[in-house]
Amino acid sequence: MGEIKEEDWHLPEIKYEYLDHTADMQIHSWGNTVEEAFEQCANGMFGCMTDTDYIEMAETQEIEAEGHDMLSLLFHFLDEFLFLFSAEPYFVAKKVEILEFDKEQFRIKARGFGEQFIIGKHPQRHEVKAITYSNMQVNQTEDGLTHIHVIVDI
Amino acid sequence: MFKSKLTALEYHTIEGFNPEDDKQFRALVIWLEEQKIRHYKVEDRDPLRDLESDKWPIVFNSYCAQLSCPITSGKKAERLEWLLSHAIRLEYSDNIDKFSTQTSTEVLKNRQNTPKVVSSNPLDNLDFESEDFKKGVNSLAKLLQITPHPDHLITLRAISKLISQRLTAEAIKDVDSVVPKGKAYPFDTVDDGFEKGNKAVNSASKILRLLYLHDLRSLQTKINESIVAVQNLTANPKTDTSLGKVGR
Amino acid sequence: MVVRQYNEEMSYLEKTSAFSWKIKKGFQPNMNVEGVFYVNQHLEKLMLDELRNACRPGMIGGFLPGVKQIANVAALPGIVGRSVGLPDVHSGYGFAIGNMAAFDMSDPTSVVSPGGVGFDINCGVRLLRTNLTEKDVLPVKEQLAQSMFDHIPVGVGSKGIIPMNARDLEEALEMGMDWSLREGYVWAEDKEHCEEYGRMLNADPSKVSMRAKKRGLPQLGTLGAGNHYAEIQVVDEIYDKWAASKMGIESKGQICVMIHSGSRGFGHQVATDALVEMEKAMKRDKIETNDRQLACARINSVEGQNYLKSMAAAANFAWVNRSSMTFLSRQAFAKQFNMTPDDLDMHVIYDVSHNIAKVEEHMVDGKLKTLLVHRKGSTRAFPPHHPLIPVDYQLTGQPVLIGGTMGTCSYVLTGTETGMKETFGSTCHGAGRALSRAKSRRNLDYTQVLQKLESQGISIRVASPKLVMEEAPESYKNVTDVVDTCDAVGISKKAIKLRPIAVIKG
Repeated sequence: MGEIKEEDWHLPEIKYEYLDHTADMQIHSWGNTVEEAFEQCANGMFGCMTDTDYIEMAETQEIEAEGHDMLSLLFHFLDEFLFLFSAEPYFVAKKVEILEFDKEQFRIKARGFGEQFIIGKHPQRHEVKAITYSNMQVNQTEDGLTHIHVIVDI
Repeated sequence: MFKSKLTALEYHTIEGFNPEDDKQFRALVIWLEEQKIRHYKVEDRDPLRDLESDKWPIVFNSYCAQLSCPITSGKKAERLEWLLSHAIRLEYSDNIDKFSTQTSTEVLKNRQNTPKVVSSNPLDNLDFESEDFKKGVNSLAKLLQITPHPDHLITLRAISKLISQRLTAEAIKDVDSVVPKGKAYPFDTVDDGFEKGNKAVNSASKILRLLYLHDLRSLQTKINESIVAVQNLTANPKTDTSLGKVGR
Repeated sequence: MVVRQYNEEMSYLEKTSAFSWKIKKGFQPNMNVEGVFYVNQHLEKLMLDELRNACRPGMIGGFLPGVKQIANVAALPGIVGRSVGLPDVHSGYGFAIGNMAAFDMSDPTSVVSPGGVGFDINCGVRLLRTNLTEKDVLPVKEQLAQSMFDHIPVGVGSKGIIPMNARDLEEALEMGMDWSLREGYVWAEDKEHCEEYGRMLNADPSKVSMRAKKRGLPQLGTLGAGNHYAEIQVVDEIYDKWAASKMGIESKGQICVMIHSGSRGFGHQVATDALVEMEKAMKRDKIETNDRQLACARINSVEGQNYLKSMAAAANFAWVNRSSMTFLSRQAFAKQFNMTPDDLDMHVIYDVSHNIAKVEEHMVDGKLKTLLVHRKGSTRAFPPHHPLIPVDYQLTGQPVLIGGTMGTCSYVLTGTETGMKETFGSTCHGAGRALSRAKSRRNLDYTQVLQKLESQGISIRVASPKLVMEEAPESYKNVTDVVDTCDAVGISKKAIKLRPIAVIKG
């Protein structure tokens, strides 16, 4: 848990949206780099659970994730943050930053800025039950942007 | 292990006697010597009586040797076993007349020979197979609207069941307590998947099924009762509203 | 996925009766058995429209249409009978929701699939009766709804108020409802009236990950969010007087409480863990399926057995959860009416699961076989005289509790012999979604939804009011259509209809 520095207070523009899906929530995020797309995806996940405007950046939590390919890396990356919320410390992040991204070994170290979820302070939205591999995609389009599609079960 | 022998000798501590406990062991040995074996003269028993002494094991060893105890190894339990048997042998020979006739067959016979009580109750002395008796049962059945069974003893059982359940003084006073209330099961109309062609067989199988369910229900109720009995011991339902935020 | 023209697809589908359609082999590759789905006219249109949309060129699709998923399941090794789509079927993860599939335990190639159970293991419904009537409750309806809301933690991030430590959790996972009984949270008669008597004996908490236990512990005794709810309902119609009276329902206007909830984060983690394990196992055991999401493992493999044991633990978690909420509901009522729950006669009518896999015996082609029956979004519906149903329901058949969506009616059905033969004793579970959440958000306004509920005389307490339009009745298929279809096909019979007067949601 590092110190929150002045530059950390800067909030990125929102680069994620929610797409049509019958029962669950499909998150579509994008970014100029793979890292950015991943970060926005995590922000999108927290946005399902609560209104991130209400989250204060009181502390940080770090996670490490690894996978055997890009998709499983994305899966575990999101799952680690989900676990931070579901059990102690019940953490929700206002924004997520990737510290290290090893594209060969498929490893990520990331940090979330936020605080503990408190009913009454943070609006209750959806409960993300699980990350799914359903139609999971990490693509690069011609303009160099990375797009991520992932469906979370709610 | 020594329970039966200790009981026979009328020792004061039978339950919970532990031969490995030195104190108990020594106490038993001295009691045996003083009450049963009486090998030494009274004055000579002193060293054996000295339960706390370090020399006691040596004294005990020489005591056993003097009694010609065949077990020379240090095994306490085995020596004790022999001592107890020895004490019993002595007890027996002291009262040989009293004990000699008490073989196991004799004891058994005595139990059976308890004098037969001649019943003064005339009902007990009836001949249950006589024609008169059978006629009587059947006419009683007709009176109570019970279908007579070819074996009149079964009819008699049915009669007694009816009387004891429905015709006692309390039952007559408070009809509701014995007559089950509620809707009758639509017996004829319900298809129980029992169609075997023959109407009588169908009815019979339906009835058997219903009786079985009745028994099953009582069994289930008994099970519930035992669960409740356990709950009385274990239950402690608690809630702590400070743990979670409820309501708004 | 084979992409064909709609007309060609239709050649594989055959309407075999007014309410049932056959899916012939070849609709999807490698089908081992045929598929079948039950719909009425209205639901039929929804199913076929879904298929038509998927056949349009250029569709990336995030999900396959329900009919395709039913067919993919039919291609799994070891499946017997037919892959069945109940009237509320809609697409899901791998298996459609509202899909039943049974596998022969004696076949060594048979598989078990967590997708065939669902993420919310043992999501189910419990119905309590009371001897209160609508007249008793109407004057205090708002207070009673508030009392329920004050007793039962709901919504994302909520934590349970029944104190538990890690050891309690281990015991609860192993003992299921017996734990709740021991601790005194429920009555002995409640256990009688619960599917599996509230406990799956093959549960093994040691097969469950630490992560799942950490997620589960704070959530025990909470309702959850999404389509979970607790409702105070009124008996609106009685179709089968005899069956209803055996359930303790004597007249219209009688008050009941319905709880719809599952195994919360615990079950979800168990399912996620299993899927990860099985993906590896599939490569090793060379199991091929039509859909990557149909992750499965041989029933007899280590992964398969581990899943079944941890699934049973999750099922037990859900029963303890519903039992805890039974306790809290009884408290809420007792407080409001100043009477003990005993005096109010708040008995459990029944408790059903609609996301679970069970080992059951069924007749297949005239022979008695032991099958692993997966029911995802499908409820067990056993007929009268089946040995596994409670004594009280031996003559009526197992009660089947169908929860409607927020503000719509719920039903109680009974199991039938026909159902036993046609669908291995399975029927629908509820309404099934019709509109996506995003569409609901676009087309409906939450204040309008709340107002409509109010005008129907339904008190509502919701943790996330702004999202209530996603759960509005318009977002779902019509539960009456679904239930009527099941009744028409004969796989379950209508017994009671209930309408809500208060809803508590996350």
